[in-house]
Formats: sequence, C-alpha cells, structure tokens
Amino acid sequence: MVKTDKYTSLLIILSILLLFLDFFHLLNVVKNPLESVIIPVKQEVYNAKMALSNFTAILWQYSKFNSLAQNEQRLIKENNDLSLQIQLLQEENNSVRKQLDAPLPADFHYIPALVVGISRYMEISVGENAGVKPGMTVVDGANLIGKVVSVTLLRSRVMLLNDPDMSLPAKTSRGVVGRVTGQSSQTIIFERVLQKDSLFLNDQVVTTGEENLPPNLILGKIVHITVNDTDPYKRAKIEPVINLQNLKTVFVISTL
Amino acid sequence: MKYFLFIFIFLSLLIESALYPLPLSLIFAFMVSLHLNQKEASVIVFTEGLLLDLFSFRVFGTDSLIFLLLLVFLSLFRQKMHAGRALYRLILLFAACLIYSLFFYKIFSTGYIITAILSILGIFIYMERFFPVSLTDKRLSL
Repeated sequence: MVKTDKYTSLLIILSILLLFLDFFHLLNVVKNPLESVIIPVKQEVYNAKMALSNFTAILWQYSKFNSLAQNEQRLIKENNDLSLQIQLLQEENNSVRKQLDAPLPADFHYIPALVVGISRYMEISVGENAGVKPGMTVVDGANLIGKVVSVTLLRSRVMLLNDPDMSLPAKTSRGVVGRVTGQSSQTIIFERVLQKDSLFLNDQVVTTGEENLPPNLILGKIVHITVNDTDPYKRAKIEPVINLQNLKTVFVISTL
Repeated sequence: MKYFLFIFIFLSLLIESALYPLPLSLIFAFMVSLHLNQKEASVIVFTEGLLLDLFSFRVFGTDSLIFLLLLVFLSLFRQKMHAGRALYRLILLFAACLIYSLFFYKIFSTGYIITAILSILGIFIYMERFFPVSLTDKRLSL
C-alpha cells in the first residue's frame, strides 16, 4: 500500500474540490478580482517581449534603421486590403445583391481589445463586461485573427487560425471553396479543395460568410500547393498576412 | 537558492501563459517533485498549478491536480530514479512534457521539440546542481 504524505493527500482533495467548484462557476467571486491583477502583469510581460523582439530586429537591421520592415508590413497590409477591394468592386459590378454582402458592414459593432498574451490561444483584455461572448469573431482591419472560445468577466481567449481545433469555410479570390484548418505544426492549411478547381500561388484566401463569420475577411495567401492525384482533394499551405506577434490591439465583432 | 527557484517558477508561469506554449511549469513540477522532500514539493507544485490555472485561463485546480498526481507517481520511484542513470529521468521528463503539450497545446513541430529539449536540459542541470538529492532521504515506502 502506498503511504502518501498527508499534506499531499490534503492538497489533492483540495484540488479536486476547486476543480468541482470552478466547473460550476462557483469560484468566479474569487477569480474575477484576481484577473484584474493578472491582466496588467501579463500585459507588461507581453509588451516587454514585443520591445525585446523589436530591439533585436533593430540590431539585426541596424543599417536599415528606418524601419524598412515596418514599411513592408504596412505595404503588404495595404496591398492586401486593396486587392480585396478590387475583388469586391468587380463582384459589385456584376451583381447589385453582392453590394449588400460587402465585408465588414458599417453596422458591425467593434469592441477594441488589448492583446494580453499569445500562447496556444490569444488572450485579450475584454470579457463579459464589454459584451464579448464565445463564438464572436476577432479581426485586425480586414484580417481574421480568430474566434472567441471562452470568456470571463474581464478577459477572453481567442482561438487562432493556426490552432489544430480551428476549422472554417473559406474561398480563394478566384472563388475556389474549401476549408481552412490549423495544424499541430502551427501552420494553416486550405484543404478540401476539389481536384478540378485551380489553385494559384499568392491567391488570397478569405472567409465565405458561412458558420457565423463575416464574409471576405482575409485569412492569408497561398504559398505552397500540394496535389496528389490519388487524393480526391488538394490542399495548400497558407501564410497569414499579418504577424500576430506584433499585434497590440484587435477588435471583436459583436453584432453577429 | 530556493528564492531563485521560486522566481524561476514564476517566470516560467508567465512565459508559458503569455509568450510561448512550452510546458515549463510541468518541467519544474517534475524536478521539484524529484529533488525536494514531499511536503515542500507538494505545497510548491500545488501553488504552481493554481497560478498556472489562473494565468492560463484553465479550470481552477486542473494543473495543481495534475502536478500533485505527478508528484505522487514520481515519489513511488524516487529512490530507483535517483539511483539509476540521469538519462532515464530525462526520458521520462520528455515523455511527460510531450503528453502534456499534446493534450493542452496541441503543438508538435521540430522547432518546438528542440526548444522543449533545451528547456528540459537547462532546468534539469539547474536542479541537479543546486538541489542535489541524498539517496537516504526516503519519504515514501511501499
């Protein structure tokens, strides 16, 4: 028979008790005030990490001190936004109905949120008190960041596109439909594309508007295509347009 | 030296919950369970688990329970593990990290594994160097 230290046994019982109480949200009275302490701590750590990564980037590119990298990011973002606009204008010319389906309509309500940290999930500094609910979409401009998966009073957890549990319908800028899924290697894959449909490198992949997601949010661009003739579907690797590690603020869409 | 250990554990909590999903807390819990006496270790891993739950948005008690069960499991083989080669401990620690990561973080890539191995080695060497174990220190019996 195993003799376990009485403190250990006591703490195991206490853990099970806490687990049980928190499962039924009975510990929120204690947890909510603690969260208001945790958020600034994590925020500072995240900011310090961003400052450190910026500092090392500057060291590496000292000769190009005028933030070429930042300009490039801005131009890529603008270029993607403009490409999306062109695509939308073409669609609008073809059909008045599609005019109503333009992405990010003005009646959407955006909740600004500070990024508190990124581990497996992104953690943001708004919760139930700001009206955030699980399932809501998180964006940065026209770029999809992810979906809210859990919420407390003061913070929310956002599942990112590269998460293995993420799966959402998507289409390319040429109208080829499929599904975007995250992988355990933290890459994003556009899959379930029929063999007859054509995929092209650098094509933008956007949301279709199904499954409670707004339409035409940018997911990324195709950087690698895998075709296997014996497979009924083909797949492509997607590279996100924005660098999540540089994000300080995101927006939660609350009207859906 | 224990103050440094507490600081390292707290830093590992912050890194794991805010910067990179690497099971640093589990590595510390594993090593603390092997290198400190059970009474001290149980209080440390319990507190560490609660803080990780709070910082990582998990149900309160999840990680503290996992760490305490790990402690009990390791206590059963404490003598044998310290008497045996360090490699066995490292392999067991790596396996524990892998299972924990696949369950909570679902990440499996070359870069991730290399980072995990380096972290394991770093913490392992730190604990072996500053918290050596006397094999006569028998806390549990079968």
